[in-house]
Amino acid sequence: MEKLIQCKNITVEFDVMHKGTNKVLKAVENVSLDIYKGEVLGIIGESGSGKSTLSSAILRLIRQPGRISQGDVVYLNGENLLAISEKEFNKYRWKEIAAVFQAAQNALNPVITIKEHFIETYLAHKPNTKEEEILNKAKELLGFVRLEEKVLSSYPFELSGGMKQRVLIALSLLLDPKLIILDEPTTALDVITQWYILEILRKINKERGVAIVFLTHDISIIGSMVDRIAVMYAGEIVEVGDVMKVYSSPRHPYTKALLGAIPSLNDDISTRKSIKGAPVDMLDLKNECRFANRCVYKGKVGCNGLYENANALLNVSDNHFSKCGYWRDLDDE
Amino acid sequence: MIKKIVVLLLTVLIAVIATFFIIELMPGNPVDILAKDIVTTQGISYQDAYRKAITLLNYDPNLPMHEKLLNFAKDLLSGNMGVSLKYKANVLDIVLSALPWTLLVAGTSTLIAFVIGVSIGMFAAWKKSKTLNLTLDTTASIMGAIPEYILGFFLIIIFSVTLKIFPSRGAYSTSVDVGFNLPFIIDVAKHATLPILAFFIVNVVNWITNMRATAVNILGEDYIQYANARGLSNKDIIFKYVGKNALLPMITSLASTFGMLVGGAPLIEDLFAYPGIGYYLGNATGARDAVLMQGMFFTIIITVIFCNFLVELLYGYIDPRLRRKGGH
Amino acid sequence: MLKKIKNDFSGINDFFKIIFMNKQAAVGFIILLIFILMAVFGPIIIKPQIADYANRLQAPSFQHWLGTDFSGKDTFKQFVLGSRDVLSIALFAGVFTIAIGVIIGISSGLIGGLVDEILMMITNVVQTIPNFPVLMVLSLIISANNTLAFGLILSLWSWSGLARAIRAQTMSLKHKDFIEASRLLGMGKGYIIVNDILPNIIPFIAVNFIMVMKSSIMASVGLMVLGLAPFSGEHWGIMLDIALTKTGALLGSASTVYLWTPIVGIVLFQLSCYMFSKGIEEAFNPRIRTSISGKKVKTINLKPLLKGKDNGEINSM
Repeated sequence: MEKLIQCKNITVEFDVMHKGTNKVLKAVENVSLDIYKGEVLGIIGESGSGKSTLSSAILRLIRQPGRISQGDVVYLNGENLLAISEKEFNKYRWKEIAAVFQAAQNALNPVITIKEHFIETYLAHKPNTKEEEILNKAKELLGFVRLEEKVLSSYPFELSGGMKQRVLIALSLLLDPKLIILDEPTTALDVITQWYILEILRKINKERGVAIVFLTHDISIIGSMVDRIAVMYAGEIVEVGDVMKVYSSPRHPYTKALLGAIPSLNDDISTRKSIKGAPVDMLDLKNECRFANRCVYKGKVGCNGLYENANALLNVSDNHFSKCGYWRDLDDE
Repeated sequence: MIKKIVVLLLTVLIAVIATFFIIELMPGNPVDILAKDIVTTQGISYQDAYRKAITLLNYDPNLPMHEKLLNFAKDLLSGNMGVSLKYKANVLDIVLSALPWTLLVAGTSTLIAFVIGVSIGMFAAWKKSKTLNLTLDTTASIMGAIPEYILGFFLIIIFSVTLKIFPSRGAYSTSVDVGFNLPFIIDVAKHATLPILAFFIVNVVNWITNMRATAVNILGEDYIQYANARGLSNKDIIFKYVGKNALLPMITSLASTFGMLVGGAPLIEDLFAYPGIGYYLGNATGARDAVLMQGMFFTIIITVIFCNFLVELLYGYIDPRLRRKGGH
Repeated sequence: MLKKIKNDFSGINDFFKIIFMNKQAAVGFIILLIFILMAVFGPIIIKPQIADYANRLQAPSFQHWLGTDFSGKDTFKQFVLGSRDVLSIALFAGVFTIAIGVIIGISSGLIGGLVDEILMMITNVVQTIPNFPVLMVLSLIISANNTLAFGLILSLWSWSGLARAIRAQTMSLKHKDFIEASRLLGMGKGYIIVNDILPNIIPFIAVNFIMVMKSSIMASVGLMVLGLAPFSGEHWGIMLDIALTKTGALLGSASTVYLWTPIVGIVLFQLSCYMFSKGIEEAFNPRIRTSISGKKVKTINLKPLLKGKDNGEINSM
């Protein structure tokens, strides 16, 4: 498969004030990740894992006090998206890469109609198009996400959460992008609407060949959706690979723990295990594996929690990588 | 909507009652005072003078309270505001001649301060420059501490006395013919400049601070990020996204600012001897001309009430949320 | 008992620590303090002056620090003597405004219904009708020649903003859990008001108090400049009025120091009020407090500040 996007060694830093001193927080550290054309990639991570920051980096939406301090984002055509000018990058915005934001509640401008959103987005990239043409396309897309035409003349406050989310999805398709990044698109929604939206996303991927990157903390919904899965923790990718392989044989303690924590309708809840401990302090990173303080394998399989055994993605099998140096020894505890 | 009109009428009613009580509560008997004055100037008997005084003042102290109030309200609302004791002219005429001047100064300065203040505030929020913000903050602190009339006083010293560019008194010179001719308009503008400037300087800072704060808040909202992600131009974001969202709530402030300016008119107009409503109210109060006081006081209140009402209506129409839902 | 006093003190200590962390507020506070000291001790130290027309309108000298005024009295001493009136009026205006605003705001918020509608309508009217013209008319009707009465008059039209804010806060608190808890425990309305609601509205009150002091100066000076306030000659507003009218200062003469003194005094007082109020706002804003000190700042327990006032009868909890 062709690589649509290759993220290489991306680091995103934030200047923060802590206890009266200026410190630097690395929300994303040295992350490399490929996105293939037409695939569905899921990025799993808890709050603060860096997944949203990573997507913001790709979309070049990082603002003060943050900055991308290192890394490349190489596109299909060989261009490094981080190196070109803002004006140049605008050509990629929405036409090649689109986004659907978290909390759709507030992504739309409260004082203009949905119709206006479509028109302005289109005209920002293809300035001389006739309004009628844009509206026709908008109606088609709204139909695709099962929304009525009259939504166009509504204001955002007149729509429900699910409807707004579908509007965002329709908007993302407006210029036929090759990639859509969705950040927690279903978090604020009820289960039924959630399922509905996942259906639509599957349709988009199958029928239009659009690559989808799906960010979420909810590992239970992602299994049926994605081709590949990447797991992020404390600003790093700790495991990435085919979803079937990762699910059946997780090769990182964090992934194992995550999968072990999901309740299912069949299980006895007493067999579920939560992950003990709290995430590492990102402002005070010591030279050790970031999952060390919560890892059940530390001290057991010969691991001392040293960072040198946890700082590179190791090849587990074809298209399956893990950062845990002891991945071979992780059997069920 | 109906509720708004009810509130409006109620406020007007309260204004009428309050105005009535000015004469009612004034120490001394204004009818008596006026009657004595008429006796000396017109040489008629005290009884006749007394009756005349009652007609002139719209006020008969011998009637019971509710009758007095009713008479007063009837007259007031039909345009009869009595005759000024000091100027010996119809109060309504004085009001009509003075109101345009106050509206000119208060209205112009409100508008200019709004437009310029909002633009600078938007600029400051966008640029995020520390120096600019610090300068604006310091200026705001200082301007907030200086009353308008003191500022007006300094303007007079600088521009009238020292530089001799702008006149310091009156609405127009006696040497110019009144009317829609250019020399008159220029003369009026010259005379209005310093009062407008005084109001402007003190108010523009408020708008700048307000707009900056609002714009900064809006710039942190999700929909701005989303607009960026879609590749919308800066121009679109500034006007359609920040501008529209910020200005909506500010329009209500416009009404209260105008109200404040009209309220502060007495001092500025006194300083500049500018013949507006405030000027006459000040003179009337000083001379204990109760009739004129009533007329001016009532006019000020009505002007502000109606201005507020208009702005409320305007806002209800502009804000799509209110327009669609038919009023929250 | 000792513990309670220690507790009360730490609350106040924290408060001042935060005020001083913000330089602007610290400066404001210090200037205000100077004025307060001037007002309290000045008239004790300085005797009321006698006119000495031979020495009028002199420039500043060692004998007369700011020169003399139109009647030969020492400008600086006049200024200091006047500060007491100025601050008393400001104080009374502040206290009365707070009292009215709090009563109306809490009643409106707690009782709701028709009472709320009526009170809010009154508040609306007061807010719409501009402040100064009303004061002009009132000054004619009520002759207030002492500071308390004058402060009262000034407060009559300045409480609307505070009442609204308190009402809004009361209404949002009404539904919070801890009030429900108090009600369930059988605590009377009085307890709820004092212990649950008041601590939460202290930030509004504090800021508003300072701002009312500020605007009362503006209003009272305005009335004096128009010649509508029957006050004797040391109040800064009267100094200003005299300077403008009697000594032809508008045309620029040797009496400029006499003119500048009240102006600078007024502006400095306003400025210090403004800066100090900003500091108070920050002191009560938990987000700013935490970010400044870095460590988890203990939420300022306002109850000790308040409980010290009521005579301990509701202290049993």
